[in-house]
Amino acid sequence: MAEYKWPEPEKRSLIGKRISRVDGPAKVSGKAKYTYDIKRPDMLYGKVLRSPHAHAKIVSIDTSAAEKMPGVKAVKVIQEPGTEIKWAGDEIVAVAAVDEPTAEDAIRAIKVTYEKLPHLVVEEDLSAAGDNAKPAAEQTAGEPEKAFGEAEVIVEGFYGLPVITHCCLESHGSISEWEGDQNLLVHISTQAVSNVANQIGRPLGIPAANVRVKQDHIGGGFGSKFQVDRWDVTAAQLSKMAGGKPVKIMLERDAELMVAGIRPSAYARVKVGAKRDGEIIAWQSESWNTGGSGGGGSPPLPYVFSVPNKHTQHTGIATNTGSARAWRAPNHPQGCLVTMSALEDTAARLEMDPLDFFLKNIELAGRFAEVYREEFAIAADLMEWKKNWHQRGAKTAGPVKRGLGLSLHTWGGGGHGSNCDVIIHPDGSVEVKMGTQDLGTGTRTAIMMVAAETFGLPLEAIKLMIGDNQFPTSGASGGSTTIGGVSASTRRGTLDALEQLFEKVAPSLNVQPADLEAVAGRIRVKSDPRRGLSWKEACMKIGGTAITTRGRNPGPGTLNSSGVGGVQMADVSVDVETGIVRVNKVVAVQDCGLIIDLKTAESQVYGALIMGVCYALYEERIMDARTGRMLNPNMEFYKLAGLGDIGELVVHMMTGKAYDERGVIGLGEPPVISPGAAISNAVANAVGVRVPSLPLTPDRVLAALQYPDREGGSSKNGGNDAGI
Amino acid sequence: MMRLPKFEYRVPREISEAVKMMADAGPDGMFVAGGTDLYPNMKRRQQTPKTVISVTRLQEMRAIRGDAETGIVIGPSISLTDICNHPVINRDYPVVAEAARLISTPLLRNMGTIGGNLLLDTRCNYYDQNYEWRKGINFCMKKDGDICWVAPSSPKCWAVQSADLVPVMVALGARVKLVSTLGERMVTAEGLYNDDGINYLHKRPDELLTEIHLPPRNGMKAVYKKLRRRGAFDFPVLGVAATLDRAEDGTVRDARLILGGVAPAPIRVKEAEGILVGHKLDQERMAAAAEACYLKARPLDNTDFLMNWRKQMARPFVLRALEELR
Ligand SMILES: Cc1cc2nc3c(=O)[nH]c(=O)nc-3n(C[C@H](O)[C@H](O)[C@H](O)COP(=O)(O)OP(=O)(O)OC[C@H]3O[C@@H](n4cnc5c(N)ncnc54)[C@H](O)[C@@H]3O)c2cc1C
Ligand code: SF4
Repeated sequence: MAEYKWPEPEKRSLIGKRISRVDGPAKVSGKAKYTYDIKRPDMLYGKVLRSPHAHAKIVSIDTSAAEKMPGVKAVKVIQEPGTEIKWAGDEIVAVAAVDEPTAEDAIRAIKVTYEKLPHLVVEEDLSAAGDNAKPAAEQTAGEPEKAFGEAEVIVEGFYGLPVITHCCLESHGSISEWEGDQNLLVHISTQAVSNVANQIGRPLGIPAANVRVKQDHIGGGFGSKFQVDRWDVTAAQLSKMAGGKPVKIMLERDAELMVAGIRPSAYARVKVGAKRDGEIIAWQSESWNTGGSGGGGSPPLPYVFSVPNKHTQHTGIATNTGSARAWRAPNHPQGCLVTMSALEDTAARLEMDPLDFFLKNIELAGRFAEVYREEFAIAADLMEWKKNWHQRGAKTAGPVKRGLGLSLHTWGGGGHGSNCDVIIHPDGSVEVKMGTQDLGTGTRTAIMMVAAETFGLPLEAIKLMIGDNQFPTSGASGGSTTIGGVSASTRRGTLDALEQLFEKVAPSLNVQPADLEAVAGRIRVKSDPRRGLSWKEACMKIGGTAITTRGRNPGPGTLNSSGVGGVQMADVSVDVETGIVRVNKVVAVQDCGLIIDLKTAESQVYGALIMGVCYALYEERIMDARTGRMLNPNMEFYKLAGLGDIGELVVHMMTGKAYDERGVIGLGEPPVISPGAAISNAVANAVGVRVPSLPLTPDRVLAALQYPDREGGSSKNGGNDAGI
Repeated sequence: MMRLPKFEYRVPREISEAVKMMADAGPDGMFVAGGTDLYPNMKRRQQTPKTVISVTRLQEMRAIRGDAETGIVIGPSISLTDICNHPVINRDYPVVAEAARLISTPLLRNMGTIGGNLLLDTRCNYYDQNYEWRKGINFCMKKDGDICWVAPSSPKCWAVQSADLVPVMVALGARVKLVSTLGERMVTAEGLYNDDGINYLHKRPDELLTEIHLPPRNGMKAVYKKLRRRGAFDFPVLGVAATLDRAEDGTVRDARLILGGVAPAPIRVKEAEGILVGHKLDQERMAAAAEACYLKARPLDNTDFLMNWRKQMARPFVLRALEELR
């Protein structure tokens, strides 16, 4: 049996190198087709009528006018009269028509009456949440009361970050069509090609085996595209009503922002107890958040540092807003912002350099203490931390103050279940088929690199097919588990195939299969590399039937593992007369075990930092308390950073023996955890006070400077109550 | 749902033809230049003309004549990009090019015109939403509804004057020519704007803006400062345009301070101008002028950011504008 491990560093021809993503040219030239781009013959366009109210009961629905309109092929009531609607934007009725304008006109011709009910859409003020607040059990470890008694310094603070949305550039949606009344073809924007058939088959009452699912490219998911959504099921139902014609429903931008996923907020009052020398001994937090009508998970507090004595209490608040979905590293950015801000405030009170303070307590970070120590040394170098850091509150002249901040984070990221078929044809061509998807992270490139590496072939020699559920199932792309899963299944499958090929070739070279290796397009004898066959010649020995193997994860050998650590540092300038924050530079030092493609790995971190700058400085879902509506459900008012707003980004990936030995570990999520905390800490360092909640908009910064003791309170959420 | 409704599109070649078309179209007609304001508004059903008359092919409206000595005449159909790059504007009225450069993004500046900018619709969080959204809250006074969500007790609409070049033109003392089948007239930029979010122009809908006149420069210096969330793309939530004309010895002969983005019309702060005129610019006078502007700014909560902060920002922004002119 093959030995399942990664090649030694000196034997790697592709793994660990910077390889450009294979679908780059298709994407930049517009040839790549996203679900949004798909146009099927005779396709109908579906549109959805959504609730205008945040909380209401449907009284009546009259679709008669819409049904009579020429060009309208199907009308489907999604939620019947009597149903309680719990957020604005929820689906009520859908129509399918020959073109979009007709579908829109039909939607506008539907009459729905509602009985409005009282709504709650803002949660920053816990005391205003009333019965919607659902406190969870308190949790205690060690002896917090005693520890606070022994603490020489106690620091209290309020920290928070608002709800933000996933804001996928390609909105959610799908195109469904029937072949007969038992077979369905679905093109869908999804993070889980292999899971769609089950999820959509069940509500439609057809076997998963009858559902074919396809997706070539996806324009972002970030955790919001794991599930088949109600509008996807509706598209299939409309298609059936329209005689099986394809029906396309892609969300409008406003719906994308209102109903297709949010990151829960987090607000917390925190108390930290420390010794004068910087040792952290006690933690207490009272936190709350919302994840929509069902509440949201609670942030891990304290984050990374397991403070020996702690008392925590969390309250989930049900609001009349769209529901939470996994958002890139669920709950971690929240836990990180609250914890790292409170700890940095503690360091500031102690007048300690936070770098020294974090390092002093680094053993509390457990398993990755050593990784963090190494990473901090590199980051400090890249940021010239020791030279540039100053005590809180820059003393420089002029209104623009500079400051530095840091943070650290962890994540799991093991390998998900994954299967692939590997085929070596007698003519030498190679196929790999896997029911996975490339979220834009470089999954295609990584799979091809692993296969090419095993076979000693160039990347182009591998024909890879993914994005189709007729290929062997592979897990959902979430939890940073894709790279660990697909690289391992591909490695196992290709090693098995290569072993079979060696068996076919060995007799002709008069050696044992185990004496052979595949290097640089040749199958050759390890001990005498001049003896061998070209790949093509070797494959001619296969005979009439191609070699086919199934690669699996999990499986024998250790190819992946779980758990990473990363640190980040930010350098900002803040104008204290206006409150305007500029990010000068962010340094990210990240570990992810053995790196397959250094370039796409670095890309992940760059992308995460950009996303991080967005949520640190600009992004927030603004709910209007008066109308219950989201005030910024469009790309004009929902602010993402532009190129000029990002600052310099410096990425350093940890590599070397100790990291390689852990095998492949996922990376998609970890680097997006720290930017909010690092930037918030840098702003506090620059201006001398904590700006309690993100995003660090200039009005919040100035409010913090003017009223340093005010808790939050500077949020725009809730709308205007000032009148004239 | 953001699709254009059906409409008739007409492309006149001469001003006389354009105004005739407008007279024929009646109240359902609207002019369009770059369409970067009108078309999104039509998609949101905020404006619903049946006939749209393009001004982009009116050659008479695409030239720039004159210089700093004589004053210049700018054709309103010139794109913002061309304004940014125009040698005479950059040499003689650089503040116009500077302010134009701060408008939205390069793509929108390629399409958007200077005339369209001066006539930009007023903006509000409760108004700049798609039809379904506005219908969901039963609309507002500015279009299809009868209350104001920003100030429910107010009889007036507070939608915000949000074009960057408007305060600049008022500060420069520009005048504009308006033409209709009934004749033509010149109006000062200052007199063009009305402090009402709905009827925000002292201009009849059938009047075509054909010329923008800037007076001779006479040693006047000008500056524009813009406040927004991001470095590009965003509309101003405060704009400060300031001009100064000073004697040899530094005494201020003339000054203009205009605030944009904080009310339905640009606000000329005569109190602040009075503090400066007849004196030399010192820290105290500049601070007093900034304070006067702060008192005059009256933003409401219908744009990005907290309104109190936008009001506060009038102080440092005016101060910085004056410091730059000093
Ligand atoms: C995303 C986005 C961001 C933007 N950011 C900014 C910004 O930062 N700052 C800013 O100032 N603007 C901004 N704008 C608004 C707009 O792009 C500019 O103001 C532009 O200059 C408008 O010019 P236009 O030619 O496209 O106007 P149009 O849309 O063609 O016209 C605007 C209005 O003027 C009328 N009109 C046009 N020409 C004439 C004429 N000759 N006579 C009579 N009536 C006429 C039209 O009927 C319409 O009511 C932004 C727009 C968008 C979509
Ligand atoms: S200020 Fe009031 S009336 Fe005017 S657009 Fe806004 S909500 Fe409507």
